[in-house]
Amino acid sequence: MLHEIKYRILTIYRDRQAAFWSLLFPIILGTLFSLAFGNFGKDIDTIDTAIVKEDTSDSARAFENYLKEIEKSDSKVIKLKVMSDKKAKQSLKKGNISGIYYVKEKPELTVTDSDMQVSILKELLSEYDQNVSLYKDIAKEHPEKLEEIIKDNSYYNMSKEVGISGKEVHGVVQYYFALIAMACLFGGYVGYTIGIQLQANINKVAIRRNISSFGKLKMIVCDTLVGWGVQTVNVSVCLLYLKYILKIDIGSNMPKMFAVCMVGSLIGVSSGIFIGCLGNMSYEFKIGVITTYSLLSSFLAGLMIAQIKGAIEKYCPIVNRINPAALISDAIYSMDIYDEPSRFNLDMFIMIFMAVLFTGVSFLIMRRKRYDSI
Amino acid sequence: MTVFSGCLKIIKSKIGITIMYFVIFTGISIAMQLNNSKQSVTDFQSKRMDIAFVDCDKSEISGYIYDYLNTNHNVRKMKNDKSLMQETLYYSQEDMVIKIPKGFGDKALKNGGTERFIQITQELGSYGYIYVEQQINRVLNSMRKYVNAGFSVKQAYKNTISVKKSRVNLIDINGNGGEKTDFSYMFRFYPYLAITVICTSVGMVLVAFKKKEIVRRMNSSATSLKSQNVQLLLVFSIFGIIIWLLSLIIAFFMYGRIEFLKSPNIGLYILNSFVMTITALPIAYFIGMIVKKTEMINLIVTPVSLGISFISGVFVELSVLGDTVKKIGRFLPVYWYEDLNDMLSTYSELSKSQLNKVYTNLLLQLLFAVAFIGGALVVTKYRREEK
Repeated sequence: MLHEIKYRILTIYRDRQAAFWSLLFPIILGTLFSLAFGNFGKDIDTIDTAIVKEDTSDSARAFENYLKEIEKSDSKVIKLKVMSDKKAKQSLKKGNISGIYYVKEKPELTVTDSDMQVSILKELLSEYDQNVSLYKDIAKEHPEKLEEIIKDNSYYNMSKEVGISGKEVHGVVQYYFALIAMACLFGGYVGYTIGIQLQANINKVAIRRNISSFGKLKMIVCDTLVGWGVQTVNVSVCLLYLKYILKIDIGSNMPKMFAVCMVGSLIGVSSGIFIGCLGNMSYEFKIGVITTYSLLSSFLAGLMIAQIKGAIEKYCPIVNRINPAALISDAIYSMDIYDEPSRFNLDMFIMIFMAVLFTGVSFLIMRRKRYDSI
Repeated sequence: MTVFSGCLKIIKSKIGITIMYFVIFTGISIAMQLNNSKQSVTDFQSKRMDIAFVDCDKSEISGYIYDYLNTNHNVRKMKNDKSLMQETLYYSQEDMVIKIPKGFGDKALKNGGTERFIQITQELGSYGYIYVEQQINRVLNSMRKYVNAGFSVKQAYKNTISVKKSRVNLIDINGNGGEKTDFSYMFRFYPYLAITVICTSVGMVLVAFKKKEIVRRMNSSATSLKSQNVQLLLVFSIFGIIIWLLSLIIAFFMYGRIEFLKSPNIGLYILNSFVMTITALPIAYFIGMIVKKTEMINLIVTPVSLGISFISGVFVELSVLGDTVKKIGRFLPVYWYEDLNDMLSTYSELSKSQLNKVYTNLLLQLLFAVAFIGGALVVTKYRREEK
């Protein structure tokens, strides 16, 4: 038995495809994620903005001074250019500037879309409107406090985004959860290798194995356990790489996370064995099925677009209950965020059921295969 | 045209896999477009959010926060029950849960007293809270200053919400009221579809031609190497064009048929996607030349297509990517495709300088195509010399 286990481990790691998909690819993709999302939530580039002076009233000058103060401030959120109306509109249409502030009695802003930079320009204008109204009201009713309030530049951020338990979360972490789920499902390539090497009508190594004295049931159990173990190690390496090398905050409950990865890996490996021993379809077709099924599941769990899982939850929640990648990413998310374990337990229950189902069906298919002549 | 017919036969034998890839990845593109046009990371303005409001403080100020949010969003009060909050978000009954912790009212209007005190919880991957956060910050900071000036809390709130807002004018330069068109998202995801499907299918054909017996028969045939390559190129070009046309037909039926054809810049969108398809073919050819076994195709195509797509702005918008990533992306043809696609979705009429940018980006994509063809020919020559 030990001899068999040793050579199965070597066989799996010598299969470059299985080794790459299940070990290296998630690490490569995780590194690309950290490069791509490194700028998320960080400082925004300075916004090029035009100012068009339409009159020289006191209100207009006050607005112009307000904008210039913001331009000079440490945040460097805007960069102002004085232009004529015609030139400013031309620049705006060409995309050289993000907006035009009209400096007049009643300030105005002209924009062309609603992206993040425009939202900031709108917010600056709203802030000005608020301050003007504030100063007018104070000048009218409490003029003695006006100077003090004008000097008060403080602005506090009154809220924060947190998980249910009160822990802060970062929006892009959903991509990493989906990546871990994909890493688990890529165990399908390991499972495929195992499934193929048990079928004498497809693979030469399987011919030799089928005529050996090592019982078929023992072979199937040994191969599945080895595949599961190898894949669990692969996913664990990916997990540790994300947490300790890339320093992504994917959660603090590592034992539970390894448990999720173990069950996820079993789903991946057993689905690969199942696809591998299905019919006499070509190698390319079966590998295509494993690739598209893993990528599609991971996509629906938020690998490429983080919001997709939420949208599915709203319009078709049953998909999230049967999609293994969604269950894996959901289990990892809920273990750290929710104090109540019910969501985590439900996810694990469905995952274990799926793993047992795939494994059971694969066993039944392979055990029943007999050959008239090898 | 023996090589041409041989290629067609191989493609025919692999048609099932090709169709499977095409259907799955087109489905993924459509799903991405449907989701992105509803909510993008850079567009979080002017949306009425569904909010569950948990008031643990029950003070005058928390009441004002509720009233203010209720005028701008759909707000319902909720008990402070963790499992209820979990269920609300888990089943997406609301977009977010806003919790005012106890003690908020005592310190809310004191300088720095309640910084980062209000808790906003939403499902992962959503960005609506940024807009709501801005609104809450503006109201509370204004109220604080009114109270510091000597106004009562009630008067401070009344004055804050009755501010007359300055006008914001929108110049509709993209013909869609400042919003990106739905089909522009689908065109954004097209490179991922094109590279994956074309590279996988072409790769399988090329690997089939690598079998020793076939290579020897082809080398000893009367058909010149040049003719063989031309025939291969012809087959792959036809295949790539079919994939491109199928994608356009799907877009045509999905986005309003004649309206789609009348949309601003539609000619340039189609041209850009055509050039992308032409660029994907040499990439596929290059991969097919370096790959020796069928099992290696997936090994290379999927990480290449996913990796290129992530760093070139297919899944994550270019404006959100970091400078380092954009610098790396500039060495990839998909970056220039996305850069052009972004511009076409922003402007309905292009100035002279913008038209120059169109030509530049298209040319850069074709240059990459030439570079990949060159690389593939070098590999072919090296392999022949090796033998």
